[in-house]
Amino acid sequence: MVEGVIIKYGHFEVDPSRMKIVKQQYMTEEEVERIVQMRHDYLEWMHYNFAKKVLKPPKEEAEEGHK
Amino acid sequence: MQKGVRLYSKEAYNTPLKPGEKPPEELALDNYLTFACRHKFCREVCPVYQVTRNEAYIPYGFHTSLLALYKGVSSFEELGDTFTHCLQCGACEVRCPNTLFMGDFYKVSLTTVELVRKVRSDLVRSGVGYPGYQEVIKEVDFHLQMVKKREDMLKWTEGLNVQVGGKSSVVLYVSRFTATQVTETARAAAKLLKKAGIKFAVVDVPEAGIGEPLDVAREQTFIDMAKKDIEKIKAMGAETVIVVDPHDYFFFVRDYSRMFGELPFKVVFITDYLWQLIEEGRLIPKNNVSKKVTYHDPCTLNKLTNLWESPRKILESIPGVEFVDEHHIDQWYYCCGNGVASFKKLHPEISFTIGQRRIQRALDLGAGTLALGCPRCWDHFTEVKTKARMEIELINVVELLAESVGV
Ligand code: SF4
Repeated sequence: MVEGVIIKYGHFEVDPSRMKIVKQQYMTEEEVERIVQMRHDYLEWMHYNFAKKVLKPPKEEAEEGHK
Repeated sequence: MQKGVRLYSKEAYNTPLKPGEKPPEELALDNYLTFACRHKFCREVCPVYQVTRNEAYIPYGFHTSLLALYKGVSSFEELGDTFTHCLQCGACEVRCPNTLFMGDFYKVSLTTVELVRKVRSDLVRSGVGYPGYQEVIKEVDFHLQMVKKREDMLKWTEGLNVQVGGKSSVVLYVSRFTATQVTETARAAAKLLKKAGIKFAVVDVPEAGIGEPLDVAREQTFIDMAKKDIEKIKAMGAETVIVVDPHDYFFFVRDYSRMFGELPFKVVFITDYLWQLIEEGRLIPKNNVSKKVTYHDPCTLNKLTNLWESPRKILESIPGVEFVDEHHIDQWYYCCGNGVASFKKLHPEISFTIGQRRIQRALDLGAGTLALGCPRCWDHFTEVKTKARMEIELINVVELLAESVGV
């Protein structure tokens, strides 16, 4: 997959040549920024409302357990 | 349609649907994305679904009905009822994982607002129509008549001593609805700008300001009005255009920039501009306004253009205001009920119920004042609260600020 990814407007985008079946739509840089910002806001809201604690990767957790 | 104007983001929307004709395959493939998803995140967030509990009236239903047409198991004439049940609020567009988690990566997102405009217009263009579309056409004609009445359109400026037309790098854009029906908001905006020492001129006079033409196959009218306004603003030498009505803000930043390419000036919503003036110390909210206030996010700001911070910051800066906030993401689920274009004319009862529920939410918070960012929300809520006999004060954030600044 990695070789099929490009960076446009500072964000990852699928290589447009791979979008053969479903066509890409017209999207301005502002539109891209808007979606990215709304995703961040949404994930923050999800976290705030539904996450009781942040799980650490197993290695870090194990290390902390030994302390 | 005028060549070189990008009416829709998706190529597939450009082929008009007609009775007895199969939709293009490209459209069916796009429809399949939403049909095949089946998570239906677009369902609970939809204010129309919350009232009707009918899955035909969500994007899942819209796309499924078009796929059914492609497969030959439904008819074009049946689309009318389905496609009138949309406020064009944009909640589903942003809540859909196709947009929120993948849209920027694949450059494919849910585009309900454009699809609804397209299908409604195709129905009218083909002569089939949909229930209530004549009312929408009347509204378009009324608007076109009104914008010709220069005196009425500029009446809101009376006694304010503001520059109308002429050269100015800062321009205040007040379109027909605010200019003739919610003048207090426009006046408060102009007074605040003057108080802060901003040199500005108002547009003489805007012609655009409604989305309805796009629902009744009058796309060329929408394009012509927009082009004229852009030309007028350009001729004024504007660098910054301050917009008072969030519907106009939505048209400028999303529709006009898609249709005509990058605009030759910066478009700023009034609350963003005013908040900057407060931060710079050029406006000082000093008078006590002792009210318990909550804020209603207009769809055109919160969901369609992601603007929600500055109205809250302004409210928090007003001395005496006890601000009880509802998170802007929670408000993706809300709407005043008016809709962005034709909805209220097509389904007034649903429109009323959505408005009533929204006001009740504010009352449940113990708020005596519902602060607004949109003149059309004010208009619709005023009607709802009167009909439903609900006790709540409705006021635009700009007017509340004007009260505190003392203008
Ligand atoms: S735009 Fe709003 S009203 Fe229309 S389907 Fe989407 S969520 Fe529902």
